[in-house]
Amino acid sequence: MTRHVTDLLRLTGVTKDYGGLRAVANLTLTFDADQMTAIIGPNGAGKTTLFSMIAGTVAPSAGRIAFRARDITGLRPDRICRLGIARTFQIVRPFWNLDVRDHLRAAAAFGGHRNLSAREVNEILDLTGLAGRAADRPRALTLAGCKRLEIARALATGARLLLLDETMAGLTPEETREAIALVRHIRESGRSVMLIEHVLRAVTDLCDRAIVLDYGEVIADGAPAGVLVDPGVRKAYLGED
Amino acid sequence: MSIRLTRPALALAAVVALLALVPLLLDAAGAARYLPRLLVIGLLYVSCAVAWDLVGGLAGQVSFGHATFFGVGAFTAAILVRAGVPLAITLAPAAALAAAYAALWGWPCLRLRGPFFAIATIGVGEATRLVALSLETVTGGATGLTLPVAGGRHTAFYLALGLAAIAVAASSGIRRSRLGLGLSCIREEVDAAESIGIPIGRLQLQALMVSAAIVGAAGAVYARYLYYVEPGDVFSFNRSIGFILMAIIGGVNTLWGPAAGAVLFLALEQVLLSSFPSLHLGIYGLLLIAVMLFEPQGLLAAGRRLRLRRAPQA
Repeated sequence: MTRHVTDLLRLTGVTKDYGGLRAVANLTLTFDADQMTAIIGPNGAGKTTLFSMIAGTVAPSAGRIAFRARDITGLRPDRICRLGIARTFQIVRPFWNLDVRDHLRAAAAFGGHRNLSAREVNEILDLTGLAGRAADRPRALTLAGCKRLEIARALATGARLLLLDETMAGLTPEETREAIALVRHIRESGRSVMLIEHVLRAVTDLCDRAIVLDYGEVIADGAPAGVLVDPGVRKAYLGED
Repeated sequence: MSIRLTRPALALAAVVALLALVPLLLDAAGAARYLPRLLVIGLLYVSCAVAWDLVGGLAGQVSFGHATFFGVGAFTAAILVRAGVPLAITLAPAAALAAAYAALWGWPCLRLRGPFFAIATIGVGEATRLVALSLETVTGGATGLTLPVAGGRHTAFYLALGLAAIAVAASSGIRRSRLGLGLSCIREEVDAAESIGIPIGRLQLQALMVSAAIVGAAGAVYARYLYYVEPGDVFSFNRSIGFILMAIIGGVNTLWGPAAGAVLFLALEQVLLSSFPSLHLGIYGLLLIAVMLFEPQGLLAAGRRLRLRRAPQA
């Protein structure tokens, strides 16, 4: 194995069993800081389980996870967040009775960023298109708005790596276009992004690398254009034979 | 921001100043002892309800075990006073021991969420009461402990007033602090809170310990006031339920709601205990159902709504 200085995240033999079901099987993968990676695959392929293991909400049954050359296997989610990994949730989980600005204040206060200045909060609000909504509660936002709030909250933790779980799901084409632009912005601001995505346009537009999971195993790994025409992938993912 | 900071502080100072005059007025009027008793108990209820709400309201973990803190505080004070320690000095150790007891059972129980935590606290409360009853050498068992009569006539009142002021100030301060923000996030969505770096267990334990310290100090004043403590009273399950009712009736997760609820609870308790001694728990239950059905945010919210409705006509 070669060790790059840019190694951001390294999974070694990561496995997750739920009873007799193997959700993630012996994954060994390395992610560079300057690569944007998409995890794709059919439902139940183990994508969200993989994210949950990286973020610390699910403990791997076996294997190690290292972030910036530091072993984070088995650490609590809040600890992993303070080390620099923030996630969004596939089903949005805002703080329903807190306004948008308080979401960012809380993320900044606890995420390791400590004192995010008012200017930085406003920058994140601008970037995520929530500038006019700072005093609103999540109930007043659309689904797309709630998804942007998830991203804004993750950004405000000051994380270097963002795990975006199906950020585009359920959005209109126009909203999807905006979301793609937002993720591109985040990447250009120097943070690393991994995303789980079913919207293949987002994958081809945004990512340098696509990893296809099926039954918890990697069935393809490479540039999105090549991966998406791979016969095995088409069979697993699109149901072609 | 500074205006928002000073308004509750001013309101608190005004209420405390007014209440501080009450014993002097009563002395001048030569009133019976009944009203001062109500005042002391009322102020202790206010302290406990406001403190309970830091855990049950702000942090969203409903505790049925707060009588444990009240009892630990009461017995700490009783034992120290019997050993010759002046009462005022017993408040700090009573608060500290109650906080330590909170750490002891909070650490394991706070790993549980929602109803599971609530059920665990019922167990803790009952276990504590039974242990206190059986530890006769420490607590006097079912007989309890009698305290030597000492101190001025209004000592308990002023201690209770000071404690209630501290409780409201602490609640107000915590609600505006980083701790309060973190607890709000935990209450709203615990997994998301954890995902943005909030150490769930640590923050909840901090809230529980602050809450316990206030309730423990209230127990100490209560011991001083009655000159008598008994496990079946200070550790009783009804006491824990009372704190919950006060907060819910007045308005959960608000600064003044639990205080208002405590006053109303006290008034009801007086009427119900004397008129319907066997029915009073049932009537609390009906009241609780009514609040949940018609104004889940409590009486303060109901009052605000009435004002809003009346405002356009004015």
